[in-house]
Amino acid sequence: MKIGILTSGGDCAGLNAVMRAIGLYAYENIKNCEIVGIPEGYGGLIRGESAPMSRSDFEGLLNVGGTVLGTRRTPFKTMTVPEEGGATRLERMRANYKKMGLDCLFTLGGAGTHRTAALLCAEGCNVIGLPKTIDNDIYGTDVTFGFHTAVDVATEAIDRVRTTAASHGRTILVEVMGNKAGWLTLYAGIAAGAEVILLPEIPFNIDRVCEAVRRNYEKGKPCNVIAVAEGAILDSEAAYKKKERAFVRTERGETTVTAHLAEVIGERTGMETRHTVLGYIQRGGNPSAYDRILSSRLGSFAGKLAAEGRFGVTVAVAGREITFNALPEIAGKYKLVEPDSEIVRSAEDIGVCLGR
Amino acid sequence: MKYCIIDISSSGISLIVAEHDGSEINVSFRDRASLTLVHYMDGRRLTSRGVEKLVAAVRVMKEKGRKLGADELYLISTAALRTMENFEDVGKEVLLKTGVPVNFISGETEAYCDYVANTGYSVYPNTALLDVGGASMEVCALDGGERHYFDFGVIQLHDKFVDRIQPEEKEAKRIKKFLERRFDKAELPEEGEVSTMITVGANANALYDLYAEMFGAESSGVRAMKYKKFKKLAKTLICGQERSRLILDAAPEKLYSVGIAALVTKTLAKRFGAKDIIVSDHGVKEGYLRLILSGELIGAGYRYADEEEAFFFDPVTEDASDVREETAEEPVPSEAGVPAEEAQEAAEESAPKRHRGRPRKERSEEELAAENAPKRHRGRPRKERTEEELAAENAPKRHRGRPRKERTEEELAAENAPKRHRGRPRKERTEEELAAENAPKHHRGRPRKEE
Repeated sequence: MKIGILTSGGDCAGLNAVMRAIGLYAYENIKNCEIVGIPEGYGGLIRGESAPMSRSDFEGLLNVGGTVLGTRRTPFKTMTVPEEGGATRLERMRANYKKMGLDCLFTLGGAGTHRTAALLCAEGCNVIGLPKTIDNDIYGTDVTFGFHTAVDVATEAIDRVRTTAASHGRTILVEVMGNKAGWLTLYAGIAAGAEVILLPEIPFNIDRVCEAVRRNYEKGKPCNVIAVAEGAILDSEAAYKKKERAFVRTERGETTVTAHLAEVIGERTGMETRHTVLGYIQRGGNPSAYDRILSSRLGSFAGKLAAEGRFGVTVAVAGREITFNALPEIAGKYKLVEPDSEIVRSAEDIGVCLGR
Repeated sequence: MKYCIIDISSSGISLIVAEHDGSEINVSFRDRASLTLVHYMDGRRLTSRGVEKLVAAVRVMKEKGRKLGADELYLISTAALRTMENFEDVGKEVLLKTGVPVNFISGETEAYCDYVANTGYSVYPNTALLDVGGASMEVCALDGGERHYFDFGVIQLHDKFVDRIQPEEKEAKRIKKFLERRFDKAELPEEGEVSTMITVGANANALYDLYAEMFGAESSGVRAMKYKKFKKLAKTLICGQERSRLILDAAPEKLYSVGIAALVTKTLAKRFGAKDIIVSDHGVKEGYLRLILSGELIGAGYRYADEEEAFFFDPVTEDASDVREETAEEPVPSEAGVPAEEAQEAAEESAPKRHRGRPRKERSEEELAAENAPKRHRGRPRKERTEEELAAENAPKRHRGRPRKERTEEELAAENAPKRHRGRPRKERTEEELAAENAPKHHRGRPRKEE
């Protein structure tokens, strides 16, 4: 069996660990197995590039962050647009898939990667997807690999911010990654004891946030730490379309709401307010123990699906079990935080303000 | 009365909620979710993962029906589950985990449901109804004319002619030839004999979604597809560059079937010379509900009220110190002419009976009444009910959909009189003995209803 592996979209901790598990499973259990790595995600498949990967290439990858194959973002919308020569990127990928003689292609990526994987599957390629994202927003799986490492990183960062905030009696806003889904912000915020957590799924009222900050100071709290998702929106912006919102923010000279919110809180509460953006450190570093275990389980299960000949699916976590979903069922869908979910309610019940 | 009908097909699960006011059925809500069971098959058996997904989908739809105030729910499935080797086990699992029984309906019944749901279109002249299903197809004239049933559907055509997921051009040509042969053999109407073509079913709805995605919906509000544009859509679905993206955006659950469904529809529309193809809003669910309400079909339904008002009977707690001592019963004076021993036996037999082996302490009438009153589940608050509501609730119920003939008072009395087990010979008894035997008995574990 000839297997191809590619990693697409943003990187995260655990990618190498998953590839390792796939490779080791294949070499241990599939006869006459040959594995090729496709560099830079779908870009490599479009160009028809690949390099053989022997068993030794998968050793030593378990605790290494990032991806040895490299990754790029190749937007889904460009896949069916004809390019020079008339062929679309999808057609070129399909032709290269056949040219490489692949029996199976593993695509490690997020929601966009899964959409393209579903397209490839619809065109007759044998594809198995694996859910990779720090945002944990892939539909149909309880958790994605890379998420918990990012939560650990963000939690530690917010903990560090708290000590300096407490020393100065400041309110500090920490911007956490999460444009559409607020899982990372929610988990890191609860883990780090943030006084306010603002999510993209729950448009927040600036007055309520200021009121919560003021109340905390009156109770004697030395500081306020506010975890803000990069996709968080004001309730006054909720009615705008995405482009309108981007325009309004550009007028203010910013792309997210964090800086503006810090300014308003400082003005209204009279307290020193600062903000910081965690940025790409959330993607980097070595995977946590949890992610190493999860990645190994997911990769092993994916290898098993390939051995069984079950394609057109993506591996998923359901409760304590590793299972799979059909690609067309999850392609294009996101898993967002439910505003009335138990985790959100329990955070509010212990006094965390969610801006509503 | 509000009804919820859920239909499991090979590519999705759909729901309607409809109100029946005694004469009309008004559909107030529709919903659909993708569920591609084909991905969860092992050969012709649905895997445990597939069953999990199916159960989860049924639960979601059941809950939607409950939130919309449905009183009764019917779950139906046609070829999707019927063609699976383990469909009975799958049905049992669904019943066990959701409480809702699955009604498996045959291809013919499905086609009849479609027909019943769409008789309103017979106002159009020379109307033909087409239902392209997973395992069967039907073409029938809505004016009560001929009905043609084909024992193959999209699934069989896919298995026979298509190598991968979507048909290629050569495969499409072979499918077209096959269809034309079968339609000729069935002597389907030809050009000029049909003026209006109506399509129903999930595949028809998916085709309309794709048509609307490509060309925009018709401004008249009627879901009609112009034949010329439909031809372009069919061609795109077979050899267009955008076909996969189009399907995944508009109808992802129909990835395996919509191309073939388009071929079938186009072949028939060409044969009939139809200029417009109307996609009906009404399908098997509406037809099934009509047939259930009229009594033509009997289905296993689920009542939402049964779930909310479960009764629990408290176990009787026994205290050893309260065990009543068995006292010897006084001999019963014998009647004239009846031996004393026989009289004694008869008296013993007619005395109120107790469950053997477990002694019961004496209870006052108030305690007995309190014990036997209907109980409510602890922790679940119940709204106050008036006496009329309670009486209405406890009145004997009849299965809806099954017409009952009028009965006279004598027949009712005879039906409701205490019955005896056939086959066990009983000796003649006096009226006193019968009355004593029929006096209220105490049986553990069974709640007593108000008299």
